[in-house]
Amino acid sequence: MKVVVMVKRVADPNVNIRVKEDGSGVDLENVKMAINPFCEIAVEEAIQLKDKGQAKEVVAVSVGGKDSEDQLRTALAVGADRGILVEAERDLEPLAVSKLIAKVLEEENPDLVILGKQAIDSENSQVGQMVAALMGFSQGTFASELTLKDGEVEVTREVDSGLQTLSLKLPAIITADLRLNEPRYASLPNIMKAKRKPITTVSAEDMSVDITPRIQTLQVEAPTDRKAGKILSSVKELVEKLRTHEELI
Amino acid sequence: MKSHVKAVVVGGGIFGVSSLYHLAKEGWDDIALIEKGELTSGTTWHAAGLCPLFTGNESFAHLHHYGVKLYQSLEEETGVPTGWHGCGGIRLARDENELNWHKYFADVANRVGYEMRILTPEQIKELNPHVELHGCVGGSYSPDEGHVDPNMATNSLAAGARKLGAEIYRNTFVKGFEQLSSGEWKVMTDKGDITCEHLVLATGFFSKQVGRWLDLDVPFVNVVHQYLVTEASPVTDLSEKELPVLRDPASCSYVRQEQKGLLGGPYEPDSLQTIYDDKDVEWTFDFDLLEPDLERVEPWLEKMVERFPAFGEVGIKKVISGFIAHTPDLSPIVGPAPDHKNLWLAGGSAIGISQGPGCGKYLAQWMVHGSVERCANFLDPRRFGSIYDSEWVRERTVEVTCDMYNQHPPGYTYKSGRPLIKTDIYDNQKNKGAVFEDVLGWERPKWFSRDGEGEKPSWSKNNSFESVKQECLAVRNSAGLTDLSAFSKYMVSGEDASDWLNGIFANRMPEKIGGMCLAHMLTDDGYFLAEMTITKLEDNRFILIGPSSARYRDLDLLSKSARHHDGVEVTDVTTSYGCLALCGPNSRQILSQITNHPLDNASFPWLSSRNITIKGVQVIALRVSYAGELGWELHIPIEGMGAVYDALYEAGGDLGLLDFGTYALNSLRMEKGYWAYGTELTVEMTPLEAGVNRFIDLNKPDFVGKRALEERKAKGVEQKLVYMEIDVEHLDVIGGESIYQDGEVIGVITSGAYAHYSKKTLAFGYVQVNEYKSDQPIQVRMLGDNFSASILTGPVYDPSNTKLKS
Repeated sequence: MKVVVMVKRVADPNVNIRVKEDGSGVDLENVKMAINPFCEIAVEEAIQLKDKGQAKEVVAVSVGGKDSEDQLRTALAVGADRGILVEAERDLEPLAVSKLIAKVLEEENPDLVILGKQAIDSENSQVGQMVAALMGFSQGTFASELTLKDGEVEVTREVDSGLQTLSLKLPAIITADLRLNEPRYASLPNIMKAKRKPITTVSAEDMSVDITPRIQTLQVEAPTDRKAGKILSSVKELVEKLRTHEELI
Repeated sequence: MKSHVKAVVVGGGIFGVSSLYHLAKEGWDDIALIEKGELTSGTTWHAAGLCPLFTGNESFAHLHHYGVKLYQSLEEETGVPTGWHGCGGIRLARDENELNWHKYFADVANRVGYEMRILTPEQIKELNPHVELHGCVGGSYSPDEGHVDPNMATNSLAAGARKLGAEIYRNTFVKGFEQLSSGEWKVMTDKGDITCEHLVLATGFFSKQVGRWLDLDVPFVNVVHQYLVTEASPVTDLSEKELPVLRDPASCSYVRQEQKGLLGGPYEPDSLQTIYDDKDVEWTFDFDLLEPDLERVEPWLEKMVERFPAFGEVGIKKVISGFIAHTPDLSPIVGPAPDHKNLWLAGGSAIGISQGPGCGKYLAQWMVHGSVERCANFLDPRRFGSIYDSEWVRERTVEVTCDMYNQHPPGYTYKSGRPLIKTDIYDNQKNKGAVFEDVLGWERPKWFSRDGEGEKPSWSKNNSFESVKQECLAVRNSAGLTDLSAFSKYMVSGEDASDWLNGIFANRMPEKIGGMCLAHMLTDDGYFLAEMTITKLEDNRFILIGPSSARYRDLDLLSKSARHHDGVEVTDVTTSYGCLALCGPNSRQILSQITNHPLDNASFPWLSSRNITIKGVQVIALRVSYAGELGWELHIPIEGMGAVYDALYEAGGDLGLLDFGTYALNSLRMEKGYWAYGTELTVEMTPLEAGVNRFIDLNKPDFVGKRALEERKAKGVEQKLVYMEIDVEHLDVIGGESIYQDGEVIGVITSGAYAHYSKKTLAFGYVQVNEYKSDQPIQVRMLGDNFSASILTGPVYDPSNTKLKS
């Protein structure tokens, strides 16, 4: 079985995010970048399938700038077999990314595609679903458990009302939720070995896909600073404050 | 926010907070720290927290030891833990020469007051069974060292400072400074202005841009350092003693335990990255990191894993890549800023968590009391100056950082950014095999490698021995010529010049034109601050000649003092003059061939100065000789250096004239029993300990330090300078060796040399007066062994100065 797993390069979730002075976007110069945490979970799931002998090949795919190779290497370091970089300008919209991924999937013909449920930079949560639609694959989003059965994949999803278990026909798209697994860390020798694993680069422009932007960014602003809290002496005082000062109740 | 305080510290990293804490400790409670973000948010928060005790020399040993002691005791005082882990540390040695470095330093460490032992590979394995010891002959172990949590340590210091009354204003952005006519500083912030008497900049990697607001060129380079943290490793066991920190010069890296995981960081020896040396760091770079780049450090990581295989067997949890402000000599910059009154700098440490406490203490002493408990020249911001442009600063900083894990035996010199100042005779000297050292930009010959091999630095006698012998014998038997152009030179003029000099120097200034003296500036407490040869050139005009490396520091001392005297002008003429010292019995005969000026004792006596002409060049000639021979120091306008050098050789070729360097000069002065400024005379000693009373004129109405000296004289001294012969053949004196008597350390060697003419190993040292028994034998510890030594009562060579006066 062949598994394709998607990885996205995002600003490291542990560093402060700065908005550019002109409000045109987020300033990523000299900012530590990382693999999107949900993609990390997706990669881990694919590797676990390989560890169990259920997947034969794990292909990591990223759509993004040349630098995204670093995140592909991270996936290779924990066990992915090869990488494909669809090199494109950084700010592609979800639909454009989905179309590019679909193109890759047409070539690769995987049995299973695993993505993160969303990326922590733009928080769209759209690509998995769109790719499923474009490819006509069955989809199981926000997966917290995944079991492969003969020609099918059983997915447990975390939904508002509880847990939902779906049985999907392969090929299928899975998007990983936080509790699907706990991603492993690559060891230093494996990080170094990953440098020698193959990464194929294709240019987004050569893929005959319309990636023209459809959304216009008007202004990017940092959230307003949170006001300092107050420590009150009693519940009574709290209720009173809520009534009189904050008019919340 | 207060509107007025005694001192403001800008920057809330380990240096700023430590400075604040120690200022409070030294007695200033009306002080404040301003931090634009949260405490530690620049470099401190991502530091690895190491507190090593294997350092380069005694000064650093004291500095680091203080930090280790403070981190262990601070919680008791402040109530906030520092996260101290006293796991000890091992440093590996790759060969016997490197192990000699460990032996040398173990002696220093033990004298400073902490344990350091030399280990065999087997003993290393016992302390850390997980280390592979290929290519290692042994190493050393300091059981008292360890690491702290940088965040907790900083907050503990902050809590201590607050307890003593200091205020900390976080999230307050400094916008600029203004020095008011009162001399006070106005610090402008986004929360209002605050006025203070003293201003401390502890601004870390922002220092270059903050310095620019004050027209201050801070020689910092922001260097990228990466370290890796693993997930839990089977080799760690929290119920057992933590693994000692491992430092491995072969992989240029350290590895320590971090909770259940491991933490390791390489200092790349040839792919070091610096950032932001051409543009400013964004003010918003706060609790921020850079993207790791392991590829750059891969060769060293591979070696690190070979050394400590367990590191490669578990996953890497995180890679920290951040930047740290480094300096061109890897020593922090702490102390008074040049040219500005009451402006102080603190920062630039590659191992700031370790050095922060000691640097904060020294800075606080300097600010509050005007002096530091130990010689702090190695921290003084004024050891750098305008001779170094930003390109030089970057080049040299990169070189010293890359070289951080290597030993630097006596004779080692850095290579980058050289030659900076090149006189007309440089190429000539180079062709003759000169091996140079760079002293504040000048290239000064150490010796002449006549077979062209160059110097092979070593902890024992090195390959310069035979050449230096030849040079010494030439000076004693015929004549020698050495290039001392690196001397710092200042012209002092004005009608108050003589009075002013008499007020700041302890010796009496010459009254006659052509008169000269050796004179010292002392601190208020009577300690040596500076040494200069002062010559009266004409009425109201003196030339001051001082040590090379103190050029900017001494200029700053002179200028700041002269500011209050309208009738005095001080000009730095260091680069306007070169200096050649001609000495030896044939020197008069040589000089007489190229100048018409009479050179006989009546016309040009010892310890006098004359303006003479050589080949049309006006030269200030001083009849002095540090080698202890008939001789002249010729101070030559820089453009005339080539002509005078050639003329001397033309005249001296048949009279045995030979180039010599500072190694021979050191050997010759030791034979003559002449002390050196910087080793025997330091700010830790007064003229009473050093016994240089003949250059201190207590009959003068007043001079800085006079009263303290008189009081001290009445009380008696605790240490005294001794001159000795050591019974050793294969080793050279380095300086910093312990002096033993009855198995106890009673003193320390300051400097020494093998005296080639007298065939003796000679040294100076200080001994504790109450411990030293003059009737008992003493020993000197050299590279782990004790050698017997005997105190000498007078110079080995020409005690009656007949040669000098001949």
